Amino acid sequence: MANDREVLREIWEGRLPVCFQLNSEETYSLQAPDAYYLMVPRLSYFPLVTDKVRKHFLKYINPEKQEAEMWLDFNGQPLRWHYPIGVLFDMYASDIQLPWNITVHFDKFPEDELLHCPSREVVESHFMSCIKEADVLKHRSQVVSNMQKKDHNQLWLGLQNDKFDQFWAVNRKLMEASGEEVFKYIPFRCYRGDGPFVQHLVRPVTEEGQKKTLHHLISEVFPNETDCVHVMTHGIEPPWETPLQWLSEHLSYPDNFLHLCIQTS
Amino acid sequence: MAGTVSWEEFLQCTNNFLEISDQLLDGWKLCGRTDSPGSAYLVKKLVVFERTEKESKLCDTFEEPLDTFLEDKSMLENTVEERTTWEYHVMYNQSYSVPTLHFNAWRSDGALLSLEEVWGRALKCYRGSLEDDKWTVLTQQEHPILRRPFYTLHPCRTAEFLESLKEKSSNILITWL
Repeated sequence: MANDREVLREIWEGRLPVCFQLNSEETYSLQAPDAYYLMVPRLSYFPLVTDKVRKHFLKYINPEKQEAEMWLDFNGQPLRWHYPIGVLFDMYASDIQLPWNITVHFDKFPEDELLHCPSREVVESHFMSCIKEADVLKHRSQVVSNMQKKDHNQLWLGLQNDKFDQFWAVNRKLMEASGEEVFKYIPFRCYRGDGPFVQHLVRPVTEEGQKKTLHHLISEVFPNETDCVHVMTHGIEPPWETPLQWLSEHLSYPDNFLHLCIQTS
Repeated sequence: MAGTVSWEEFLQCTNNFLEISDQLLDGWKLCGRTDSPGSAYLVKKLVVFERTEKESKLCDTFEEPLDTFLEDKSMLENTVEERTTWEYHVMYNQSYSVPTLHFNAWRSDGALLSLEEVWGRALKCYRGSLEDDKWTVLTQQEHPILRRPFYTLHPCRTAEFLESLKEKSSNILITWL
């Protein structure tokens, strides 16, 4: 049960300063557009918070491209919109100086690297499928499928409209261990450099029933490397002794997954 | 949980599946590593030729002399042949304990087919029952190993479907596909 409301609130309110600039090759007008500055929520997704960015830059590009899908890059790397914003930041953190400089594109969509995002429904569908997957991992019974559609909608609207109370009124049910003391498996993803993210089946307790910690998780996923890795999430490095069950209840993103960025020292 | 397959069962089925595929020259191959759950997957590539109807040009050509018109063969053919390349991957999803189907399709110019175009090619008999849930059944997702966008059939539907097959099938992979 996610009891530490103060922690939940702090995590919810995490923001990042971003400086959006149009790809100079796509500037069609005589005058280059001003950069667009925005504070973005760490917990959200880029397509949900960049409507004004699009509007600002559309008037400076080729008039025939007004319906084109916008995409973003940092340091030449296309940004995967389906990762929460905070995850993308933590992945590239060592290369970033604030404000985060992101380039906006409307042309040459990199189809072999980015998923298309033609509408908010696509983001919702992706978000809900992460929630369902996390639920399958955590609970023997399926909490999400026993919820009414209006509860699913409330999760989505709470995230979209930045309403902590609305979101957590439903999410607290997903953070309960439903009759057991702990979740069956901890939903998490580890990101390391450019490779695929790592996702394993890890229980929050040992065979003897002892609480496992972050150190246990990293030892299971990256054996023999625990001495030289740093784990970052939400811009912080949680202590190695943090219990996994607590971590999952309090530091998960709205999609109910822990997203851990691994850096080697 | 109902309708699930273990990693070991999945591997057994793939081995059996590949033997049959090789006999039939069906072109499936195994990629990735078998030592880590979820790291091995089946791949098949194929090229499909489709005939689609061209729009009729008859209405705007009657200013030409009739014999010139009849000599132009393209006026008589009303179909166009398109070449599409399909690539299928069958992977094991550890969270849901089921196999998942991922695929991509490209036109002859190398461009990826859109979700709409893929739905357009889905068999009409499946389309009817799934139309309402279009956005949740078939979506573009990141391939778990290759990290590129692939169209994916949602795993929770697979579990429902597999559950109904379990008693009747010796190789669940073959029946499901």
